[in-house]
Amino acid sequence: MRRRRRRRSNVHFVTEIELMPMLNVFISIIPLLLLSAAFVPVTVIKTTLPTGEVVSAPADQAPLDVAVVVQPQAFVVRVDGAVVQAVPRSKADDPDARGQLEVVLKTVADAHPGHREVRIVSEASTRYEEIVEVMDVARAAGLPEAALADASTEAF
Amino acid sequence: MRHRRERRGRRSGAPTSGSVNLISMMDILTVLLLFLLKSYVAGGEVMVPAPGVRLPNSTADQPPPTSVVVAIDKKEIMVGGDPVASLHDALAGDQLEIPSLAAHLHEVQRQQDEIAKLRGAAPDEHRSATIQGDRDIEFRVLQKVMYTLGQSGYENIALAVIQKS
Repeated sequence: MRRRRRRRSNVHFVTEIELMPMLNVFISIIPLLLLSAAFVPVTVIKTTLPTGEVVSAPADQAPLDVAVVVQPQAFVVRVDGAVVQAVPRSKADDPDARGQLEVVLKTVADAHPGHREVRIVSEASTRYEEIVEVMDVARAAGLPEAALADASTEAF
Repeated sequence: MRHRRERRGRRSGAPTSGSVNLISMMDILTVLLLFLLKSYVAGGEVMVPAPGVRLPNSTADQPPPTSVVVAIDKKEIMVGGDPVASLHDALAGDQLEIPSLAAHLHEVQRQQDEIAKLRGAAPDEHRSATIQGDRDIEFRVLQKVMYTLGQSGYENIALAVIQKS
């Protein structure tokens, strides 16, 4: 009796939660989530179809036509067919030219408040990445609705 | 009872079988689990780029819609992961429509309509498609694919990109 009491008062019980089942669940869930998790954030750009014989332009109220022609040596900004400015670029990935193009497009957007569309006129061999870049520049300049067009069907 | 015995044994200097301390591991796993779950909740619709396709970078921030995915890599055009046409064949003709892609899209459309009918819903009027294009493809490929999509009744076209941080 004495012994028993002494043990009770002295022994400090170490309570331990049974963690193994939880660990098992975690170990099976985590690889599953890791496998299906998307670490690369994929987003989208909504666009309209290329002009030409595909879409008939809504020409009833003669909307303003802002176009960026992507050429190997320059970006040419046209408003209703008239060249506003040609931004020369030395190479495909030219940050200066992009900045300049944004300034030009911003001027156009400010001059026509409420106008949101821009046509991106590309040549057959223009790289997709460049088109997406021009879309980004146009969006930053306040013309978020980009439509794609083909340079060979454009009448310049 | 076991603990008591172990403690006594330890005290007496006898070798005991020590249990691995799992708490720190549990901490790591819990944090990892929360992080992964959060990325799920924040992401909504998760789109994984098709293998072999290097999407261009962009500042766009719209989440990808649930739609038919047309992937274009440097060699071929794929619909929902199945190769449909090689780029060489697609660029061969003068016409803008790619026949094999159009045929495949019609098949996909038929299946979509059937599913809609089984659900009791009307067939979708405004179909949407997502194009996952490699950053190095040329505009004429994109144009042909977009034209074919347009002709097949896919009006809302989204271009998949990787969001720049």
